[in-house]
Amino acid sequence: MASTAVGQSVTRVDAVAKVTGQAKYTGDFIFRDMLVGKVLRSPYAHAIVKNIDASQARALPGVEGILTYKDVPRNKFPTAGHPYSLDPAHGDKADCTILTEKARFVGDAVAAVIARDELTAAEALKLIKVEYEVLEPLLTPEAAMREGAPLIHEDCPGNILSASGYDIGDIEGAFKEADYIFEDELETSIVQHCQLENHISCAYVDSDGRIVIITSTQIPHIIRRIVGQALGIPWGRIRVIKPCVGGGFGSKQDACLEPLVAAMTLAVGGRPVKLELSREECMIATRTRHAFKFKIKTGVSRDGRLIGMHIKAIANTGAYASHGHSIAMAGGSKFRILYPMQALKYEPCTVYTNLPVAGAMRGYGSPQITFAVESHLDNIASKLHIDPIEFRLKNLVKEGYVDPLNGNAVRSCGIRECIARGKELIKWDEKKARYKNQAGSRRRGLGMACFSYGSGTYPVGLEIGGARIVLNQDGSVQLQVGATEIGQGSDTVFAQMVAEVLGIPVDMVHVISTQDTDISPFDTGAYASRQTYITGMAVARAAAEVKEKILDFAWGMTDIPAHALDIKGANIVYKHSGEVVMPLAEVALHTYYDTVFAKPITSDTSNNARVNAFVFGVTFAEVEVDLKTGRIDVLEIYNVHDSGRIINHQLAAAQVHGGVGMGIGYALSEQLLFDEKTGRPLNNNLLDYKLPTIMDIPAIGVDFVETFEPTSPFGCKALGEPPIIPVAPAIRNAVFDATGVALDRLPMNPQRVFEKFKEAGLI
Amino acid sequence: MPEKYLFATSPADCLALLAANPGARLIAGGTDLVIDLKEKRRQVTALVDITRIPELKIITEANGKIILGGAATHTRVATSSLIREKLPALAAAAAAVGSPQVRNVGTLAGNVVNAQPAADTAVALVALGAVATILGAEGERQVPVADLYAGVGRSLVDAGREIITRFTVDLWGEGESSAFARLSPRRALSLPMLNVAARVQVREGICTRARICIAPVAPRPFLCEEAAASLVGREPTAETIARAASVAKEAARPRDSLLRGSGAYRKDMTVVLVARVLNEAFSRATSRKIENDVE
Repeated sequence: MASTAVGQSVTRVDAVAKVTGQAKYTGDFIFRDMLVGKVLRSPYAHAIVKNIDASQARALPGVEGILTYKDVPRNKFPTAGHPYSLDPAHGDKADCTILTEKARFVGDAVAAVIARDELTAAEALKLIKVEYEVLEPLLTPEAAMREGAPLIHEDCPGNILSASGYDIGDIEGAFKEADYIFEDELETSIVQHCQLENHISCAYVDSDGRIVIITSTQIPHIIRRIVGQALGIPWGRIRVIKPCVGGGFGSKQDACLEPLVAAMTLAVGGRPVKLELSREECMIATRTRHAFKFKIKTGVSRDGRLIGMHIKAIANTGAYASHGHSIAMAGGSKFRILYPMQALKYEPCTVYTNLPVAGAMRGYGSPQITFAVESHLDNIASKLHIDPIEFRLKNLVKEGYVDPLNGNAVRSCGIRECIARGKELIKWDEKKARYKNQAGSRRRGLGMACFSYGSGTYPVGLEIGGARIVLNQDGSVQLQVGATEIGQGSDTVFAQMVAEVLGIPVDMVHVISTQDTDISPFDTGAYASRQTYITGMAVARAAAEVKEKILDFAWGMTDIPAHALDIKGANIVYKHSGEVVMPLAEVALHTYYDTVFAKPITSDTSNNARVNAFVFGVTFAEVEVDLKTGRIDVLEIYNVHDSGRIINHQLAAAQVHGGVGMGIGYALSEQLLFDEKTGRPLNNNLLDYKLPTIMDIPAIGVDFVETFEPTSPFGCKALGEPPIIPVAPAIRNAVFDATGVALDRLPMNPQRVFEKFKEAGLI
Repeated sequence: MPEKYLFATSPADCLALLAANPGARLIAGGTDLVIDLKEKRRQVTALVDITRIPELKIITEANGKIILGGAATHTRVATSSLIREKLPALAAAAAAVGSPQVRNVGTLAGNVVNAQPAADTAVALVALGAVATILGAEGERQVPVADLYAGVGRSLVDAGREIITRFTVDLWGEGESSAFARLSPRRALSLPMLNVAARVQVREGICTRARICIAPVAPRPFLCEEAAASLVGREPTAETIARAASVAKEAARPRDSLLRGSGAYRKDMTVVLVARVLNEAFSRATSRKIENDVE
């Protein structure tokens, strides 16, 4: 396909609106008589609410409503942003209520206030008296799994949310066959998304008695269903509107605020209520990334082939399930395609604790398991005295491989080219030689790590995308999608796809950026790096339908058969010669106003994509380690991705920049900390939580190996989440190269690294 | 919340405005005060702004002294060629504070009066032996910065009735220099896990004077006199520096903190940072790199 729009770095369709401040986010929706909601949060990690006395708060002038668990529907509902499952056995875990009578973490929502303004609401919170019966807080998976530990959820024995894994081949046989066995233990920490826009929703009841929720979400159609479940009302009585969103990274692939804000407006006779979290609330009372502990045992042949691997994982999901039941499994499924081996056994166990709720976050389990496996592989390579790249090359997947469990096939695979390109960019061989015999307290090293990931969730999840196109009188079009733009650039790539198929410039495609469940096509939303690939299929189909209708209409006007026509540069042309027949605008005008044949052209499609495409990539990092302080500086870092054909290089590079920065924070400095006795958060603010600043991030090198994925009409695959996945292990492996010390825990902050150096006798 | 925001035109005017408004407090950069007000840690009726008083912002050399106005911002201190040349520890400390936005408005006196033990410029001022000139209703008094601390977050300067007009640092003359270093979990917007400033003088190859300040290892910037004394009368060699560093480690009493690092780690880091800072200060003072076998 000759590209006029796809593959071009066109400017974001929302760039001007965003930089000029015209773009409307949820906080920009201001209604007359709008009230403010605030949440009273538990100061205890584990406690039963014995009594709530809100009489003083209720008496405060300006307070319009006080809610406790007694005042709201008590339906248990799931919050995870997954498509609804018709099979109840595969549904999400319903363990939440709108307000709780049992606090399960410090920050759990115990009561809520609705008042005329922020100050009154804040004052009212202070006047609510809650009597708690404090229970033992279970702050680690070990404590929660201990025999006789109190139950966090009464219906969940052992506090174990889920423990389903998989088994490929005969692992014991594989270990017998292997020449060497290697074992490692690795662990990751709890981090938070820290997206720019905090969680915010507002809701009111419209003149038809329906609840309208304007919300900063990645998943408007799913939110409609979850609010319906929470309130116990028909889903059609709820309308969800998603305006511009300032980032989510998975924390908004979850119903954190919407059921409560809906209950709030109902409590005040349908008046508009705004519920906006502070950063401090966002960091503990929305979602976090699961901390994992891994035990890995691997059998390897003398010549460096992976024979079998046994991974045990414990994931800390915090107080409620959210996505916890599926994240350990998702991570364990997406990494395994990279190094096919004859036996692989995965035993994850996801455990409730009295900590904030862990949910979806960029990479959905993959950054954790990739840190463990890629670190483990470098440990093995070192013990076998094999170059870590050579070791990987002996074991990498090839095109044509089919996953034995889910049937997904590798139809495009550029991982070898990614590695070759990364090696070249960082000058691997030259620097390896140069750093061979270092002395002194500052040592340099090189490391790399690979990853594999999917494009969407098939076959685990439904992968449905919808698109609708209307041809205007001037030949331009409106595009509506159910997929959500949350800053990643999806609206722009969809516009490029439509322009490509229809043969018109990108600025003739007007993307309706707001999703409204009353109006927008059905699509499950922004997660799993799915939209460019999955929704792209629906967009391509809708555009192809419009094109077919245009050419048919032109046939009627010109007597030239549709199959001999094409559209190029917004003109109807002869397909064989490119000679212009007439402007597209002339056809479009006739579709509206021809007194006999007028029939304005639209298309409305839905695509159930029963397919998945594997993506691959690599991080190469160079570090300098200060042996005396444990400080690690990343000097150079390169990510090279095989995400199929790149639709927009500028947007793709921006995704990689963001992911690598996030990965550096994950590797070196970020960690949510809690008091070890009480579970109170210690650093739920951006001063004490060490998100890296621009001073901490070196220039980031980005490159793409552009394969063509045959299951996508444009050859594209996923890119949104992947850039973060291999960053931490690449940095860890570079430190290993520099010092010989095998770090096993994130984040690799100076104190922890220093202690490991001491333990290893390096200092 | 304060009901009035007043601008003082001179130090005397500032005192008059404070006296005329009971419960008033002076404000310079406000980078700490505004947060305290917002979080209701402090009750103030009026704020008296001193940032429009030119004499409080001077940075100059006179009669063998460096004089810095109390309201000199960190950015101006960090970028002043005079300070970078004569008091490099202070320039480096000022450059390490917060972020560009904080440095553009935050002031030296504010960093001292806020009385946090590890405030970067306060640590440097203590190492440099800076003396604060404080103007109050009873007139002017001069107190070494090291003696202005009553405890963590508590200053002996009352910003409700007094003003630090300037800091004075006596130049030691030939063979002197200084250095500053900090260890922090990120490169900006980060309180230090540990910071160290040192000032030394070398005459005819022998260290004649030394001051070393370490934080946060005590409730105030900790002037480690034992470590400094171990240097005086000796040739600045790697061994002398290592000895001073280990004396400093013994004297330091850092606390355990999940956020800022364990006491044990910060004790170990005291050795490293003191050695590095002394190495840098002596190298500058003698224009000769000190070979350090451990580095």
